[in-house]
Amino acid sequence: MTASGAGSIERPIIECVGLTKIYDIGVEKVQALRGVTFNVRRGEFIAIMGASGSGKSTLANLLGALDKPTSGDLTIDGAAIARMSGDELARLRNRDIGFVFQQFNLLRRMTALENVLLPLNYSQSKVSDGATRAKAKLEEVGLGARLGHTPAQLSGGQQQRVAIARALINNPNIILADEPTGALDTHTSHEIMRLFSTLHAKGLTVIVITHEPDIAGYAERLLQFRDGKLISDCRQDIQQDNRQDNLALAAGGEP
Amino acid sequence: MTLGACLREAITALRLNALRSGLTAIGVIIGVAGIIVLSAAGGGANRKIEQQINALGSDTLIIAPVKMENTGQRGPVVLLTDDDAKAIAERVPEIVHITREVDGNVTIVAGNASWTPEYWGVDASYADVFNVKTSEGRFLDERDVRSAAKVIVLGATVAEKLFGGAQPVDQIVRMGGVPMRVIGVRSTLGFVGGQNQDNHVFVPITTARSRLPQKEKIAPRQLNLIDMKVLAGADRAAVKEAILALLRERKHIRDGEQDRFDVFDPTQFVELMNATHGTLSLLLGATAAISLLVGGVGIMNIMLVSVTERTSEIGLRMAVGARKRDILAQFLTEAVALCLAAGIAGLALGAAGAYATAAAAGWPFIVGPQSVALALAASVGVGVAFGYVPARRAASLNPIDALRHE
Repeated sequence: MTASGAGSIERPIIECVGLTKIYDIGVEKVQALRGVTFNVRRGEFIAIMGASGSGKSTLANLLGALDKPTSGDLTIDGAAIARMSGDELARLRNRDIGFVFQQFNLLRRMTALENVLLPLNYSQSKVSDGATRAKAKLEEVGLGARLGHTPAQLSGGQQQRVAIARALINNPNIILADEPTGALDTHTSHEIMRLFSTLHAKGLTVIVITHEPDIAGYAERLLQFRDGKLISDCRQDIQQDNRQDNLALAAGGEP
Repeated sequence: MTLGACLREAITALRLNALRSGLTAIGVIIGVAGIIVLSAAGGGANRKIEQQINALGSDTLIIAPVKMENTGQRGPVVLLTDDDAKAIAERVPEIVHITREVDGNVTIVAGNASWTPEYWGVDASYADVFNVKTSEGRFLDERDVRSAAKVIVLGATVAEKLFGGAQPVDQIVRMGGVPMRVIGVRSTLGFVGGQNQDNHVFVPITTARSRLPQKEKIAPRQLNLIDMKVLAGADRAAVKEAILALLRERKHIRDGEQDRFDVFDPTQFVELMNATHGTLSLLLGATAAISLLVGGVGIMNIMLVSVTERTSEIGLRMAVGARKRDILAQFLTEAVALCLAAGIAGLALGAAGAYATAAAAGWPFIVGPQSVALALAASVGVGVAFGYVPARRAASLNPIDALRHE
């Protein structure tokens, strides 16, 4: 996927140094992030956990280049977010980051294929083989037979797969999923997580924001947040087994 | 985002709400149709007026006595006579043609048909004063007038009423019991100022005086009108003044006393019609403009609704890489596409309206490329002007808030 350098000292794909985010809501200021520092290496599979109000959504917005930190440095793929213009941020979101949302956010009037093609409308470089590429991405997520279906004709799990194909269309380095299983049943949730594992196995950096421990269990590294602070950052060896179990479960449950 | 992609998205979005889009577009449709009807009517009426001026002949002047009952002033009745016509012909060198005229109404019978047009008893020179052309036969000549010949030239409407499609020339009609031979039919003039210019007949003035009843007949040598053709390029105001001065002298009207005659220019009347027409155009134009304005506000309103409805879509588009200008372009394109579609519909409606108006008013049907361009430009203008605010609102949404919007 990515041309990783020969040397072992590779620059992290995401660098967060002392990130703070303060929302000014009129009468008072809400400090959503209070100095967060961590790095993400290229090709990692990370879960970000925390209760609501922990700052994980704020962090997701920053990592997705949808918002800028109040202070601190955030570098994504070598680009310092704080110094980027609106257009540059849009380009970053278009090219380098693939978003997956809890509510799938597909456009209901469009077919699966058209939804997957949407980000190409905003690509700076002309894409001539868009349809071919979109079909390939839909096949990659297991929906090759449902190109012409609209979201209304698809199940929740299938809609999320379309959304993932859309996230993949510009071959991003990072997949950022904010509560991707929040609207799905347990069985489908595990199917979707298995898909993320597959993408990770292909070399993509995957970041999943969730509040469910067994979803977080798919990741190889877990960041836990509370009150705007990073309270734990650990690799999850035990949870890996859990993931294997879930993988087996998901594989067994396939029709 | 390319223009093509913008257009495709706009058309999809509009078709999804086809009814709403259609209803919203009505104001613009009516406005554009108004512009088309207006400019077509303007063009048609102008062309018509031009034709009429040419038909009536330019450089003509007409003298008529001032009707005392119209001025409210008392004074001796002053008549226009043959001698006045003679004096003007002799003493005003700029007058190149002059004809006397006596008028009246007599029922004309031809076979079973009868019709009561106004007759004009004139000299043969009437043809030179008003550039008379005939579609059938000939006009009156000097011999007809000298011999008080029982001949008649019909206006096109009279010919139609009395003879239908049949050939009238050399037919005998009875005019108040007097048998008259039809010698010609005047070419159609149409309507000027709502008056049918073809509902007249011409007879020699001598015949009229000796055989036909006349309007307001008081004296044997009395005239209703004197019609004149002025030398082309002459100062008509000065000629008018010279004629009035001559008549004041002849009628012994003292300085400061009310004139007893009017000298008027028939093309002035056409110009007056033109001015009225201009006022009407202005009024219609204002109506079309108001309709476009109201239509534009409707478009703005529906686009604002659309932006609100699609807030989370806008958020998503921003998340997958849309820049502010992409969102702006998308919604602006949608507004312009809606207005342009409305403009095209309005164009069709307006063309139909203009055609009906032209047919009813009897002027040529003209929808010029300028008016089509104006109508389309107006609709695009409305789209841009009223689409900008909603598009701007969409583009300035915060992607995070937009994404969360339900």
